[in-house]
Amino acid sequence: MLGRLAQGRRRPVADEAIHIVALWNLMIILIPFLLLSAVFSQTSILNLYLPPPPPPGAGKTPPGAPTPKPVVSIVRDGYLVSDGPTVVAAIPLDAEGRYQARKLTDLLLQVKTSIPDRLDIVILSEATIPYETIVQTMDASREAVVEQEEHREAVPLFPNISLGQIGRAALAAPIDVGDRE
Amino acid sequence: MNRRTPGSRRHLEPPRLNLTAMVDVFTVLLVFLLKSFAAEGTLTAAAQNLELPSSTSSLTPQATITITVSEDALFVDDERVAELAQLAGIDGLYLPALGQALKVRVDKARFIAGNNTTVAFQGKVTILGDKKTPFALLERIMYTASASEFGDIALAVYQHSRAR
Repeated sequence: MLGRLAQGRRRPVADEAIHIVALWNLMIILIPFLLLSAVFSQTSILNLYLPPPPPPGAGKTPPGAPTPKPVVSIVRDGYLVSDGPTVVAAIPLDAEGRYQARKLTDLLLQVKTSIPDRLDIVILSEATIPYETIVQTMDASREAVVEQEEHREAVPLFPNISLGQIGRAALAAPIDVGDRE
Repeated sequence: MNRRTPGSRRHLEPPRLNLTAMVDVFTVLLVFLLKSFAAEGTLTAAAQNLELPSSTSSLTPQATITITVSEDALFVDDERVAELAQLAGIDGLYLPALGQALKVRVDKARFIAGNNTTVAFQGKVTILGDKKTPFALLERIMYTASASEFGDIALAVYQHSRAR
């Protein structure tokens, strides 16, 4: 009597176990697979701005166009910033041979104050400049982070970026900074 | 004697592992991973030896035709179209191998757009370039792309937070 009662009480306890072996197998397979294929680095894009092509027969843009266009040239020794036909400043490499993107941003902030409506900029670089440097320069010319009253704010500088090679007539901007050196 | 019986019975039962907490964790992890797998985006590098440059840009990539520049070869989508070593010998900015591969895709997109009015050829291309790619090569690729009616060029980058 006592033994039967004990057995009767134990049975519901034994039935509590859920059969999750199949689920378990599924997870064991799926989780390593998904972990392997998961990409934790986020990709994004930088849009390039291609200036509208000149009307046929118009020829080359005359040098010294009426509105000054900011041009950043990436040369072996650093940055060369020109505002239309005149070179504004040169930013040499730092002591470790790196391009000083931060200084470029600060300089472009000043340039921006004189031409607040302009959104386009030309980045010219030498043939051997690595892609990474160009992307850094694009970042530096796209927007600036300004600290204002304990919070940081992104100020757009020149988001419409065109790329070109120094001294190449086909793609060159109104001026050839390369010839100027 | 009577007291020992339940003790010995308990000993006979197979030990049960309590997996509930672990199953909970795995379920959450599974859902998270499945979600990130689905939302992974459209940019997948075709080449192994490819490291994108990093940028502060936060624009989301779009599903476009991609041109991948790895350390040694050029891909359009997943198709290997040219070896970089061979490209150095070609004069001029235009890269014929890349141009042909792009033209095939333009024709295909035009054909689809001709039969289905809801789809239009937009001329968008995304360049996934290795961060050591020299600008001269990048320029030739961009030139070839715009000559092949891909005027809207985007550069793919790794997103990183602004350090200041």
